[in-house]
Amino acid sequence: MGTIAEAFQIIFSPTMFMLLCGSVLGGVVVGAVPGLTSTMAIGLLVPLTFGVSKFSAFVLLLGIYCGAIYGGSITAILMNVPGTPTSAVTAIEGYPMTLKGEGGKALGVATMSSTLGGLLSCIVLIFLSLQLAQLAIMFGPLEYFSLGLFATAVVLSLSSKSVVKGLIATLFGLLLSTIGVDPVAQYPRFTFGIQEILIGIPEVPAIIGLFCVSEAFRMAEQAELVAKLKKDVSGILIAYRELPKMWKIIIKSSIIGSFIGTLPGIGALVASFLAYGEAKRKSKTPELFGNGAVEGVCASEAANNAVTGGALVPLLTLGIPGDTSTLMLLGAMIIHGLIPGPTLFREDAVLIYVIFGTMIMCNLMILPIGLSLSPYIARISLIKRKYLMPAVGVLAITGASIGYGHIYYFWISIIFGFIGYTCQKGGFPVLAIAMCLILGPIMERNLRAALMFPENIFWLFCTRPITATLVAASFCVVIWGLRRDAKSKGSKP
Amino acid sequence: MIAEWIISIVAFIIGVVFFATTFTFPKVYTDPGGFALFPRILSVGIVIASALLIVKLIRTRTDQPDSPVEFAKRFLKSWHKNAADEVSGSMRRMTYVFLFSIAYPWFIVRIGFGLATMLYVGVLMRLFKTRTLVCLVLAPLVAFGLHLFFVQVLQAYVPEGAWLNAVIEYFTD
Repeated sequence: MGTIAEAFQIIFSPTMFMLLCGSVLGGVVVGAVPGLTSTMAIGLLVPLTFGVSKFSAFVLLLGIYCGAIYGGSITAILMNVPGTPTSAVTAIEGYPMTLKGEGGKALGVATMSSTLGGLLSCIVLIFLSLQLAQLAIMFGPLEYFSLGLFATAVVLSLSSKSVVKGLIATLFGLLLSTIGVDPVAQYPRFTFGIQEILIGIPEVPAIIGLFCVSEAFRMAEQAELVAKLKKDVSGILIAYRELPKMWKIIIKSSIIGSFIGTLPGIGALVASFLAYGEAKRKSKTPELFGNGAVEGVCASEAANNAVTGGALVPLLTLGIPGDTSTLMLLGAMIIHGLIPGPTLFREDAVLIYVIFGTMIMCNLMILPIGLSLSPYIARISLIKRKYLMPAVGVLAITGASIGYGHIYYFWISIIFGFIGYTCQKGGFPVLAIAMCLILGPIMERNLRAALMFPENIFWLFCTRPITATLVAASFCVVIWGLRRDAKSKGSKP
Repeated sequence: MIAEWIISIVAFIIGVVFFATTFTFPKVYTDPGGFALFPRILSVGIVIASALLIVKLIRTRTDQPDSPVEFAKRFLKSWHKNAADEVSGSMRRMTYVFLFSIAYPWFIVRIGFGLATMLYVGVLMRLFKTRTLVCLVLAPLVAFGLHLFFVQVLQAYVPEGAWLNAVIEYFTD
């Protein structure tokens, strides 16, 4: 109980509480700006947390994370311009509602569903992560290797339309992670005589390059966005009248969102689509979907905010991020010298409870911010690309690299920016490369430790229950991905 | 399609080079996996996967609008005097953005973080047709703000630039 009290004391200290409110508001604004995603906002802020305490860093980043996921819905509803890709589903129903003069109601429902979805996912986060952390204590090298194998199998099969492209991206990331000093015996590998490469591929600049610098390049390619905001937005507050009719959709969508969040590499967009589809399937008036059905807004928003809690479960307990934003949070953990897993729950329990408490508070803060400020946030969100792109580009390159004090890190973020941009263009999953850069050394270390066992390693893989389950699940996921590829090829004319 | 070609060829080359390099690693008898096992498995996998994709790309028709040949033609056309369409403009802008991004760290080392950032931001803004006066005001402001933040708040080391240092030394001596 002492740990929980200490965590609450930290969260409710005046400065921390102000930071929390400011970060949620900042996140909502960032999420509403088309072209800026929660991943990019966290990515740009991660290096700037070098100089602050781990508590402040996580309060700031989690506030941005939760706020940005919700913020995308504001411009999606009012202008048909999803602030973040995850709000694309919300726009399908939200914008027709705005055209019918029900934009306020759509915003109100989106805000309340986001809050409730986020809060339900916090319950999942708290209970599931505490249980999973207990289970993770039993993990040895074989289990960790199998877990890495499962995570890479899920990412390569589900984060791309083609398993081959997913496989190339995964292997590319894993191979790049072997550059530099060997993780077991400190032997330099693939340095080709260049001294700087001994450092290896630093995760934080590389990941920020893959997601943020590449996004700046993409902005440079796109034309200026033209969108108009309808000025009369009313009826936000009376949207609560819709809630009694929506409780089943909210609970179901939150469960879908939380579950999808726990799977590595899938993300909030898929959760929104699945929840939306389920809401349409169960609706008594499915013909209204596509023309401004409030259930669609509710399902999409509850699901995408529920992903936030779910995605933190594998990150905190096993060190495997659930989506791109949590991958950035892992970067923040690396910067602060924190190793996620059962040890973190044992040795830094206060931080864990601060994270739980912050998640609850962030989701609660969305409600007043969304209900009172969303029409105003929509007005300031349309920043011109000619200002946004140079700002994002320079911040992504310098922010990720400056703290290390060597020009090599600048090169890394720029080179990985090119890689990320080209991969996105070619349909290769960037998330797979980023995740494998982190999983690579963990997998290699554990595989080599497992090979030192006197028993036959294949026998061990088959007989240990956790390992056998994870390896079997990995095969199933890859086979499912291959079958999906074959089906989509068959359905092409 | 051009991006698929680039990634698959780069992945194939990296796979082959890494696979060959693993044979130069020493063997450690206390570590059965050794330094080479993990990268060797991965490089074999990436060579096979990228070869599969290359074969698939070769099989698809080359006269498609995004094939490498068509891309090269369109790229060259975008530099033509009369090329004023949106795609050509976007291609030219991307080329400049890539080139200036590569030049940015090179300039940081030579002329220092502040000046290089000012130049980079200014050029990027100008590429988006921002008015020159706005660029001249905003670029130094962004560079100065970032410099101040990194030095004062983060207490990070900010490169001062070899050339700039040489000039300052010349005048102070």
